[in-house]
Amino acid sequence: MRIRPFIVSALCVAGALCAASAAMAGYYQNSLVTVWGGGFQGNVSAARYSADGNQYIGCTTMGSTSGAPWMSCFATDANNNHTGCITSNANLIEVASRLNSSSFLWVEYDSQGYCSNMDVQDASWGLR
Amino acid sequence: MSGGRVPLRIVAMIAVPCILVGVAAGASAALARGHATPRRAGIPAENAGPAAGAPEARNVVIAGPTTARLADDDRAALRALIRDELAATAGRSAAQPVDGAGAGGARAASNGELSNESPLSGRDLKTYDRVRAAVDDGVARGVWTEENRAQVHADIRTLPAERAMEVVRPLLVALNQGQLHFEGSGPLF
Repeated sequence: MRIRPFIVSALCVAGALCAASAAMAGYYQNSLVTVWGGGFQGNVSAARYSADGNQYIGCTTMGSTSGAPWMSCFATDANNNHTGCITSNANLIEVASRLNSSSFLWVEYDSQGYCSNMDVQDASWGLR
Repeated sequence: MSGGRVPLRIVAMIAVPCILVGVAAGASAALARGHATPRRAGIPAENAGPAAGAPEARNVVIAGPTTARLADDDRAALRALIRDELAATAGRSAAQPVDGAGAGGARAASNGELSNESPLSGRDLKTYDRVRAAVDDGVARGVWTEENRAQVHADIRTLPAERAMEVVRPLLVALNQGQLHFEGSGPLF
């Protein structure tokens, strides 16, 4: 019978998929990027692996040996809405330094384009 | 001017119009001394209320304003020169930096952001001017491209923090107010 090897193969593949799925068990929060007037938020990994190809969230810190560091944070949602802010506030730069690939980032900014509040959540639920 | 000679070309460009204006002003003043009463533009002499015994008005030919146009390079150099002088003046009058401020002379504002008080070197002035031109153009057009991002990002890396923030901040204000369309994704710079 030719169909028998096919059934065996299919069962093997299904078993492997189940095993892989079990290995990825755990609570995952798929927080896509959201922007609004005055702030933005999202999960770094959710943005990276989003299907739309637009989403982005993150911060860039710049500095030199001769001056204070400063930082810019930007976000783009699924509809290609962009927003961002800058800061040289040491407290905010310290908070943003915790940002990594599993982080959830929440940022508020003022009307002058300066970041005013920031929240970095670094937990298992953000790990993809 | 800190550490540099002013190019003769720029001096000439500033000096020549000044001399022309000075000569014209002197000539006008000399002619005006012949009038007993001042004349305002657009008001005929008979309506201006001449004083008794005033001499007759003379025919005065006033040349139209002359406009001196600078090439882009010269304009950028002139702007850099003026900015350098202003920055140097501000730097001389600035108080000591507060704790936590960078070595560039920047001071922290009440919200923790750096204020713009550090003078720039000649090279940084050119960089600053280049970024400023790109930002002004982008905000005016309401469009920002990935090419703009690459150029500005490369430039602002070399600027002191407070100057870099100062020069890109109009982009953020325009972006967050919905007045700037970014033709790309990710950071603007």
